[in-house]
Amino acid sequence: MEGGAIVNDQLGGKATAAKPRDATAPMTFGESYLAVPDLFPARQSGEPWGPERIVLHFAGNAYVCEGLSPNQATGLRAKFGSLARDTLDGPRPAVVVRIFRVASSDFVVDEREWEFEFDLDYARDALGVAGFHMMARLDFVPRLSAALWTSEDDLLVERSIFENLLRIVVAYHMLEQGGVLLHSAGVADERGARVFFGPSGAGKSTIARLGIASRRSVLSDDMNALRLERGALVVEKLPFSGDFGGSADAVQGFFPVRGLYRLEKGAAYATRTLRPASAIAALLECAPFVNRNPFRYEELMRNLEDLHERAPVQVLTFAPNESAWEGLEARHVPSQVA
Amino acid sequence: MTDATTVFRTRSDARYRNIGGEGIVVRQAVGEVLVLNEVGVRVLDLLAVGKPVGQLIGTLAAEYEVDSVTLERDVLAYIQELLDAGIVEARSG
Repeated sequence: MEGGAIVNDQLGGKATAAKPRDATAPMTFGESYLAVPDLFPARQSGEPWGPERIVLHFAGNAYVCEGLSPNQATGLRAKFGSLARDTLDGPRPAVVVRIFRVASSDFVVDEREWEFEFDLDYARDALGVAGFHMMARLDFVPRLSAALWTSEDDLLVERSIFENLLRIVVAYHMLEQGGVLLHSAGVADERGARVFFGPSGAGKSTIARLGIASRRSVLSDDMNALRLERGALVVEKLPFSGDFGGSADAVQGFFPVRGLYRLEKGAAYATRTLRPASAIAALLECAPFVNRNPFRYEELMRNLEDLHERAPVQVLTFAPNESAWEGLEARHVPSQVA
Repeated sequence: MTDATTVFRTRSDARYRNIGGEGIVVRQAVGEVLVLNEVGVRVLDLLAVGKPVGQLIGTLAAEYEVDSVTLERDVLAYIQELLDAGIVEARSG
């Protein structure tokens, strides 16, 4: 009789620019970043930075950013380009993100280099975030909204303070909509997009570059949103920085998912189908910001099980040359269940 | 020390889910996810209903074609793995 096997994977929850602090570290929420952690805001209120308002449109949703200073608004418009508009459109309710001004003395003052780590504090109806020169909260009731308190004007955009919060907001928004934000590379052509995920160093950027070399388009090699569009599983690039985040090779819009692939290092092209438990565990590993939230565990697992029903996961190893894409096309099996 | 009367239970921070006959155990607090094969799932299911180790081994003996010495050795070794991985703990009392 073969003994039960245990395979360990890590819930890294890592984003390119920012990552949650190790939960095993003996610290209370925010004490590395906030001068007085007990004064973390209990609700979304405070002094806005300014009167400016921008609406960001992506992933089938709208994110209304209020309370911006003129400098911050200029920075966001420059960063998000055509995704940043002045008006709402579309049927779905928007997610409001409020920007408040606080003093630099609200944060721990020391000589550290700028850090992109942050603490997360999980509760049933809210999520607390504390980081370098910022603190934020997401409230899930009555609907998802967020507030950010920061001492930084120009640096809101330059140091990715806003972007790092937006990643978290989008992760929870996708969760509520039956999808998932996946640390992944998405590569598209006229027939749809393949999504490649795995831990850092598994080859996401490499497979994306090989896709470009074979005349395909990259959505993102950092984070993509898997969501349902009229009942079909689609993937959409998110406007977050990665190697391809701001490049001309990155495309906008959403694409039907042609395949989900977990990348593993290997010397030659090979694929194998993962059994459901291993597939869902692999997806869970790459779902940042939500995969360690005990209050959203059931919701996340339901979404991942549904996702896997629609697009079974294959393991892909490949040599870093054009044979990877030749192999994928030669062995393509339609992924979505009709 | 594990003996035939020892009863184990899944730890409160280990969330277990049966998917297609295999199991996923997630320990969110430490950021770990583990996949159990069918045998591992069966052992965890039997532990979950409070079977002492001796009864658990007896149940598995009726379900699998394996000699009793090998079965007992493998089950005890596997339970130790589950203990070491922080998935189960011995119930007191």
